Amino acid sequence: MISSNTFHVVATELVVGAYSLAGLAFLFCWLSPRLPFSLHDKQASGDAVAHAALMFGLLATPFAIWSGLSSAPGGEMGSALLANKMLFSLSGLGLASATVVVRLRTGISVWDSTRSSTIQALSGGGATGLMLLTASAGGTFARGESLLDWLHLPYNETLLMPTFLSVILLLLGITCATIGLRSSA
Amino acid sequence: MKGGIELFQRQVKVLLLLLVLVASTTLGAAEPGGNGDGLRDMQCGGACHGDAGQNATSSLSLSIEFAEHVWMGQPTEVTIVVQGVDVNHDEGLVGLFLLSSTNANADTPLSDGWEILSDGNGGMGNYVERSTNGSGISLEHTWVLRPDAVGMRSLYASVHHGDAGGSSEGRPFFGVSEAFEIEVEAVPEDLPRLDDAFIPTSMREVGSETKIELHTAFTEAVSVEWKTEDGAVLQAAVNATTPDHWEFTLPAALNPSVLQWRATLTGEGPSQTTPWFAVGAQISPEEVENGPIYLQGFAMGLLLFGAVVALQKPRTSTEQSAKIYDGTDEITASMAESNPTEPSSQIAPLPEGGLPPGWTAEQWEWYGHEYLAGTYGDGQS
Repeated sequence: MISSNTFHVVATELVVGAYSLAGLAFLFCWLSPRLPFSLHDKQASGDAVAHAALMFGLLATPFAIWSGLSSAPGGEMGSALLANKMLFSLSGLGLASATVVVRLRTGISVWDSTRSSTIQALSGGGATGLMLLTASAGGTFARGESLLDWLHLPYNETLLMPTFLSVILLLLGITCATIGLRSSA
Repeated sequence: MKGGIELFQRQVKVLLLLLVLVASTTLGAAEPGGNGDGLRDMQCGGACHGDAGQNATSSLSLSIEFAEHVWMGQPTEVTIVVQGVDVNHDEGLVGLFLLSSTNANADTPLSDGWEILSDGNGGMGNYVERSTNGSGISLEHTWVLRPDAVGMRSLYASVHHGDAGGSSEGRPFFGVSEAFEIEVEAVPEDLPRLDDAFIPTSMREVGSETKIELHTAFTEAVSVEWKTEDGAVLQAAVNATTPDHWEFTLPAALNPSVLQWRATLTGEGPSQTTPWFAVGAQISPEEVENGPIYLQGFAMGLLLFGAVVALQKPRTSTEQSAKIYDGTDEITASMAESNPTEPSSQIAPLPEGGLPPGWTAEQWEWYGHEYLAGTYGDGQS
């Protein structure tokens, strides 16, 4: 029987790999119209890679979160670092979901205007950044070092909002999502 | 054909680039930040330096020192001595293992009848990490063990380290000592000693005093001394509560550090001095409740989701239609403004016989093209 620690390592490797690939592809898609040589006509390929990788990462993320909780000491978030991991990963999950939903609704034309392509690249790249931050915090927790150590990020400090503020943000998010999703009906 | 050759050349270039990238990686590398103290087998599950296919042999010299008499059920000090530090390599950080075998699994002292009471760093594992900065060419680290049976036991010292400079920079190094045989003897009848069930405190909070209770046997008096990391040794006041029960208080630590104490037990038998027991002081991280974290995480995720979806909402069908018609109106208006009544400037050329019978010049201006195409009046020209 595979332990939750090992399963977490496998799941996080899948997540980090998928999101990293997606992040690079999103950067390429955003830059491609500005590239001086023939790469700009490869935007459709970059778009397919970016969103396929992001969808794969999205599928693997819940497994990584679940196995991470199971393998945490005591099976729960006992420290600020683990709390930060949860906040980063759930935020990244929301951003990545929105990126995929927008692409499914808008199609390839999401890259047609500067505004929509910039928002799409920022949301896809932001999801990648949040997942890499989560992985970096995990590396700091498990091994005492990570790829992003040079940034000296305060993983052991977490900004915990009051419950009422979380509820307000939650309602605001539901409202925004409802408005955004209803507009296409 | 030419395009196919160009595509093949491009694929070969990409393949060569990938090969160069793969070839430029190393098979293994030391983890310069270490893995933290703990209870680990020599091979670390393949995660450290124990994989013979990846590591290099350390040039450090390892030995183990222990007391002349090791009594069953009584704490005893076991010290690993490392010689040759910073001579051939720039180790920076060394990982020290105290092992009961070199089988690479189930090889901690716990597997051979030992109990680890202290790892000297405030923990109870067999693996510790020590910085070599300022250590000179030798490094010592002491564990406190307690054997549970009489007989001969083997202990090994093992070391993992990297190299921060020179030709071996980044390589993982591994070394293991020869076996050191320790004879565990039965306790003499009247030997002043600690109770067999004594478990020393190994960790405490910064800023709080620590009361230690000792349960002894065949002991008439106890004295306790303690020292901090700077080495100054001080005496602690010991109070007898009931026969063979003693207590004393260790002062509070002002910052995360390690304090050590030991007791001298006096009775009818020969006096005994316990090992130095290490007590680490730490600042525990603030406890975090799960509920608010989940709520905040879902709120942040949903807010980001909603914000992006709202910002990227596609245009509605009404808006799109309006845009199309708006464009048509502009074009129509533009044409009307340019010349609303004038017929097309390109009048169809007259046939060889002039105007068809019954046609006026004005009719030809408007319908001449249809006449020539045979579509005027459903083809009945």
